[in-house]
Amino acid sequence: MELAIAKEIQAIKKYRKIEESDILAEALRLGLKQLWRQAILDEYAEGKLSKKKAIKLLGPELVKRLDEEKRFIIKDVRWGLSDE
Amino acid sequence: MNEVVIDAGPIIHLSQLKLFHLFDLFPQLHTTTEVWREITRFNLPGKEEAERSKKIRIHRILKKEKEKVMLAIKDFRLQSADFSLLALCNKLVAHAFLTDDLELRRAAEVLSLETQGSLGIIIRAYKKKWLSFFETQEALNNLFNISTLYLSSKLLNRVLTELIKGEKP
Repeated sequence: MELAIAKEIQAIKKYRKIEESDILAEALRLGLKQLWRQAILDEYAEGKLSKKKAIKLLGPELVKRLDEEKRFIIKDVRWGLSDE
Repeated sequence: MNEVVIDAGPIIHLSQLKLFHLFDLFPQLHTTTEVWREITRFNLPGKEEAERSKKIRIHRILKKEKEKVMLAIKDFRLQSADFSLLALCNKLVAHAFLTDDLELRRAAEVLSLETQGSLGIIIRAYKKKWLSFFETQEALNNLFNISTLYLSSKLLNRVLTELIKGEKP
């Protein structure tokens, strides 16, 4: 794992010609953004966050996608449990 | 007619979960040459299982058959293989269309086609007692956590609530 990360850092250094410290700073920023986004999505999926607030934080596209996923999940569950 | 059309997604996902045998819930499955090529050209999960299976019948879809579908659902962002599947559904007057692609499921709805995903297949297997509650829970956990199908694994709680509700008389 550590070796793979080191290799990736070396590759980014080579291709983008930036310092290792800058790469790590950007990785932290991107990683945090992803974790933040996931935390909001999870809160909304569990009904702990309003749709209005979720849209404000994430934008309408992601919230719409999650709503659609939920709709098809319910559809799948009902079909699976039906006697059809 | 009880024809069932299948996309690559459920083949890949159920193979990843080592549940390919759940396709035995359906007497026969139909897909298109384009989708078959997607599954078999690369070393995707499910390639070997699909090739071994005698259950999947492959159909060639004509350009004009696809174009007819394209006209009806031009606002959706779909690939050529997706249109071929919808055209096959129309051609066979399919009873069910198995896909995990959200955009494709929405497009199918516009064409009044019934879609079911891998999740539905797992739950149907549970209903038919092919899987125990524990095995179902494990399969669903894996579906939500291993695959990149869903934006949030927390949606699983909703499924489990529905399953437990379904258990009660």
